[in-house]
Amino acid sequence: MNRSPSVAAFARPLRALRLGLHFALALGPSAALAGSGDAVLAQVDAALNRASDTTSRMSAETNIPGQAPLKMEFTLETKGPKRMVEFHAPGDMKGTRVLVLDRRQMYVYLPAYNKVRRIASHVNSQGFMGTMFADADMSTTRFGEAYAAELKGETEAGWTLSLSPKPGEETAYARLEIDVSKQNTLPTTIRYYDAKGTHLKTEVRSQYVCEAEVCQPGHFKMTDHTRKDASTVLIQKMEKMNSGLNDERFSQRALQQGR
Amino acid sequence: MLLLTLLCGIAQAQEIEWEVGGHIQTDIRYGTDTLRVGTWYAPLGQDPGFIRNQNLFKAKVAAKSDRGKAFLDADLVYFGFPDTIDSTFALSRREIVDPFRVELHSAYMEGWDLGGVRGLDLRVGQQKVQWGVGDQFNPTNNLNADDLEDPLLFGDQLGNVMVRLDYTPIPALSLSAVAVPVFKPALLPQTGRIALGLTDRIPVDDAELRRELYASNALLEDFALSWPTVVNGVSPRLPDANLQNMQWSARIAGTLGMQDIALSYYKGRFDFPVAYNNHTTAAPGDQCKPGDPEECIKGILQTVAGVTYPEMQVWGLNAAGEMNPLGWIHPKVQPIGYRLELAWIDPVAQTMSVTNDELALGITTQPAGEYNYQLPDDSKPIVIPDDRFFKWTAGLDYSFGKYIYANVQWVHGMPDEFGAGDWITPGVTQRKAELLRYEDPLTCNVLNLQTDPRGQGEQCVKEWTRPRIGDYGVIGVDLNLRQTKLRMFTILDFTPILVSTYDAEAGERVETRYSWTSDTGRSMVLYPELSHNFGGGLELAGGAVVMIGEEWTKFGDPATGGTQVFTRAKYSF
Repeated sequence: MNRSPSVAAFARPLRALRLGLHFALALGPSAALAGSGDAVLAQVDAALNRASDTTSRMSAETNIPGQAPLKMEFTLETKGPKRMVEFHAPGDMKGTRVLVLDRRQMYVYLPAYNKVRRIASHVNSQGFMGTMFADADMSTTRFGEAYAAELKGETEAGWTLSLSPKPGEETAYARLEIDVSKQNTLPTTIRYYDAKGTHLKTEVRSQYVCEAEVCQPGHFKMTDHTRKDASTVLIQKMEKMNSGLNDERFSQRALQQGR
Repeated sequence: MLLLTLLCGIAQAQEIEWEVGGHIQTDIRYGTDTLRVGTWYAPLGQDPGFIRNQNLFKAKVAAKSDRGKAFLDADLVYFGFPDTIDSTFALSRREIVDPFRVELHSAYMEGWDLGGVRGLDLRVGQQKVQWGVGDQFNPTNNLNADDLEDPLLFGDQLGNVMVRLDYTPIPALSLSAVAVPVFKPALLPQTGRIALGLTDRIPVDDAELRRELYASNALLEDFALSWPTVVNGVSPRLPDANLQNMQWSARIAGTLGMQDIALSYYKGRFDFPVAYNNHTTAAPGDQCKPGDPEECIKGILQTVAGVTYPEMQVWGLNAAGEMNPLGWIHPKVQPIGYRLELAWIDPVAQTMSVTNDELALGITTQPAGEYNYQLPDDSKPIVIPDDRFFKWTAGLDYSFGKYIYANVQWVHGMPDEFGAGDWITPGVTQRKAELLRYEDPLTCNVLNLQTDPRGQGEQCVKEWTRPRIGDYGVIGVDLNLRQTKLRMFTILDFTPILVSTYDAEAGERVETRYSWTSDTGRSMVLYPELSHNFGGGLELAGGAVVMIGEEWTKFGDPATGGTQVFTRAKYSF
């Protein structure tokens, strides 16, 4: 009974999968975008989804006041909406693999059971291994699909967009504020608000590394202001990009074999 | 060593990736119940005390390339209790004072895209093939034998040498075939030996014969002869290791409309022992109960239970996915995960014989031979009929926000349950029997025995039975508070207890059905566990497995081991 699958244990990693969707970004200044907020947001979405596939090595450290830091490492592969995550540390997560084919088709391989298990999308409401990232923070691959943008401000360095849910769209947050760099049309800071206007969390993306026409943030920091500013830092080391990962890489067969 | 040699050979090749992991774990457990079965001349049981004091070291090593993988998963387990020390010589033997064992879970090699055929994989060696979408209750997963040695690892299985071939023509479809050359029986819990003291559990399907056999034994013990029956051994009969007895299975699995569907077939054996013979010999010897010279016996009828593993075929259906029947209530209501695992089992009938050597019992002598069952066509008593039956697991799971996860399953048939008998098909298994106590017991027993042996059982025996296949509600709730987790795992036995006795006034037997809510029928497992993850792979946990129920119920059965309190420390690397 001790080996009863802990959904909490395997569900949380799912959120990390969504990180990959934010990584791809186009190079080049976008001064010509000055205009409506939606136009800027469209360029941000395009930049976020430029790489056809990526392979990254991620390390995460979560600091909660009064508690010891929590660290973990994993490899993240993405191709469109498909993701494969393999955990390397800590030891109790080592060998665990998660496959996301679709928001409603996800699997986990649990090494203690030698078994692939289907998991339902409700697990997305749980946290990601005790980090400050939530599924909603990471699963939005195109902000413009759910949000309408208003240009709130512009400086020489970039724009500030205020995002509100489109009519009929269910979103996790009532409002987002995104600072976008004009240099690469990528988010540098995202502020998350609830319906009462409370500033819930702040995500900072920095240390962008560019290759060909795609830029990747090397550093993410999510601070949760409702939890005494507890924070999670994700360090991304890009290993491969546009390497031609085929669909078989994102299959239950690969999940079981750990290829 | 052979595998390590192979791994080293692989390591010399180009582009080999090594992965090493494992954990160190210490388990200390305390049994809180006094478990007593049998009588003064054959006591069995367990007193409260430490029942596990174990250190385990697990090592996992994998060598991977783009063409395949070699994998080793083994445990070194130190029991923490000395073996039987019966001499000074034993005290100088480390393996006796500090015994250990090695568990080989996996030691296999796997080739991918064999012969250049994309999607064709072959895995050979010691392995576990874990099919079935149910959580820990997998009636379609029969290739590996069940491992019940540690009740906290419910659902675990023993590794076995297999040949597995998989073909995945497209990512959403796979075809699999597995052959298992040599059958392995299930590994039973240590407290399973207590069942030997439960001599009233006669596995015969025919109710009249079952009661007659019990009454005959009781008569020999209680009233006239003072020759009680004791089961003093079990003689397992394993199938020969030949092609005819090889287990095999095939499966086709795929995704259809976002739902995972699999169909499977298995031919092999039920891995829990089923009786095929009871052979009795007489061991004369007067003895009296210590401190009570009035309670004496003249000898013991020693019975060896021959057990075997019946053949069966299993057709399986698995389905898993999610559905959102309550989504209309509010958009934030998320889909519920579901899983269905259905096994249709076709067993080969199992019969048993009751035989004895010559039994010189003093005032009478029973000649050597076989019991006269008085069954039609001189047939032998059936233990497991050849009627087909179902087992299944149907479950739902859901997350309530960040902190609560719930998993509910309806389990129809535990792993050790076998044979037709549930609310679909009749068939029961006996859980307890006793003689009805009349003012003049000899009237009931001896006179009936002389005139109508069958009637002896009908009029003198009270018995408790339950359907062979039970129904259980398995409820698991996790409360996740960041690094601390509280888990409450519960199994409720919904199977009724049927108590049958003789109504002297009506002149017939009557049966009373006790539901799971009654004191007689109540049976459950409560399994609370509190764990804390310190990060970096270190975890401490404590909890209890509380077994509730009367001795004739599933979980009140003394052979399950009773209630235990446990602690666990684990460091994973």
